[in-house]
Amino acid sequence: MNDLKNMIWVELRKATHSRVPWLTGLGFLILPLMCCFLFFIYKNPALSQKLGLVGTKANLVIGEVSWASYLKMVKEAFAMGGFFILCLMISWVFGREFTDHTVKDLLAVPVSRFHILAGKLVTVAIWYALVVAVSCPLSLLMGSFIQLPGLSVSLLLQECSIILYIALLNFLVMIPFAYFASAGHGVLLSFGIAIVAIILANLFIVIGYAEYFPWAIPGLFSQGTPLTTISLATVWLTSLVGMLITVLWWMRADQSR
Amino acid sequence: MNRIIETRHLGKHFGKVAAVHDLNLNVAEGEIYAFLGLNGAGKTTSIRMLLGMIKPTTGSAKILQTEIKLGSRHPWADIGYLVEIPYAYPELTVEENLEISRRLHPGTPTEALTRIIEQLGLSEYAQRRAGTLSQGNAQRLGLAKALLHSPRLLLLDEPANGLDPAGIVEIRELLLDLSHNHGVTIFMSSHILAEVSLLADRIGIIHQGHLIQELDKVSLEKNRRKKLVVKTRSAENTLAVLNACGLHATPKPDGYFESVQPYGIEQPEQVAEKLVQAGLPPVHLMVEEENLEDYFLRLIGMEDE
Repeated sequence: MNDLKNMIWVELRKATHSRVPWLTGLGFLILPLMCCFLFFIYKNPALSQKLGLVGTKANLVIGEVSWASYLKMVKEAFAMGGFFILCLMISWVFGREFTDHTVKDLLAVPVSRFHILAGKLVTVAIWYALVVAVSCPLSLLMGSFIQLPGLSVSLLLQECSIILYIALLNFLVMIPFAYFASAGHGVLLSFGIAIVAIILANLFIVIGYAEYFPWAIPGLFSQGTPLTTISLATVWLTSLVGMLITVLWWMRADQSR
Repeated sequence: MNRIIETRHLGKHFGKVAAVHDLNLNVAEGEIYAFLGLNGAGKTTSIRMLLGMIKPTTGSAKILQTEIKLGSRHPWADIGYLVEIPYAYPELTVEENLEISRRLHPGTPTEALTRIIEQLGLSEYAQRRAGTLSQGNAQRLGLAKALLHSPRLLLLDEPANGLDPAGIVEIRELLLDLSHNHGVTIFMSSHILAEVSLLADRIGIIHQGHLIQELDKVSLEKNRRKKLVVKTRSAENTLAVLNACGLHATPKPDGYFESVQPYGIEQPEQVAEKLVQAGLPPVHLMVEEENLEDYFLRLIGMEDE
């Protein structure tokens, strides 16, 4: 337990002293601002006309001006944004040891590699929880600024719990990216896979097999499709396989570079 | 005496290339063992195998009586290491980097941090970000990380890399002190032959993945070639006189002559006397011993390159 605590301390220290987590966290905060901005434009037809393409976009994506509609957009933004920032954060936390060449300092130490990896994953979880904890209330605050109609406590609780659920799903399906960043010795492989995963997710949604494709599930859920046993099993299996292959890779891979 | 490092038929192949081949090593407690070889000879690969970072293709290695396995957490509590260029987390300070190392070695007291910072001359840089350090200070930081938890065995890959002459002396004295006064075993690789000859109790010469010779200080002394080097004011007549003594001298640049014949090496005063009698008093007459560099090059067959 002490080893794990130490490793979490080590990873948090690395994360808090680096710009990457701060910048990606701040980047995530743009999502509620963007949603709010689109609604603000939609509510003001004169401004919408003036802004041209952005105005058209706002008219296209927003059906009605209400809290329900606004929170639907926030959920979708959380699903997509969460995918990308988690990809960036996990890839950075695991891949930086290779790009900074510090990995060799972690390999012959009297702390198990499992604890080292657990420390990294817990750090990403803490960081992501903080980002969600800030951006979720911020979304609500922004929504209240543009005075949307139709707010109720039940709607708020229901939609906030869905946002949190989307965040959890995203975290679980992104765990294999720890392996991609480790095996790829940096962030490039995982970024490449993330792009391919997004393209494939859209394809799986179109052909109706999204519940079998882990990276399509949070997006699908954010659009109101309920989670099925298969989709939940896909998510959990992805996260377990992700953890397993990451641990096995760190335990057995040659670190000749 | 305890064997601290023991390898049996240790080998690593990268495809068809044998980076290390059939390495059999024994390093005793308290010894300073230097691994000498050209770039790409297999020194770093050997050290990485000893540290369980890469899986050997053949054979096995034991450190501190523990079989080395990939991914194992033993026996690293008693081992400090520095592999190739030392890297640190660039955005963290020297002290923070050392604190991370301390936490990676549970049981290391907090005071060790202050001690090692002072010992390695890093006090001035303790609050400086590691990314802004000079190569020499980064090397010191790497050594500080290796020494922080007071290990029984140090595996150091090119420990003098990037250090200035004063730094090299300082680190040499530190390593000698650790070995002689604290019983720390040191296994180091280097291509700085002068450094190796000053530090090592035993030297292993590795070439193209093969350990071609192991020698201690005494056998190195015995194996080194000696030669008589002579210079007089008249090069033309000197060669004739030397050859008349049976020295089979070879002319060298700047009017010097060299002979490896035992007579000249064992009785240089007689050669001097004969030169004086011939009216050629020597301006330089010395029995020179082959240095480690020449010996090494001769051994790996690169003498004339």
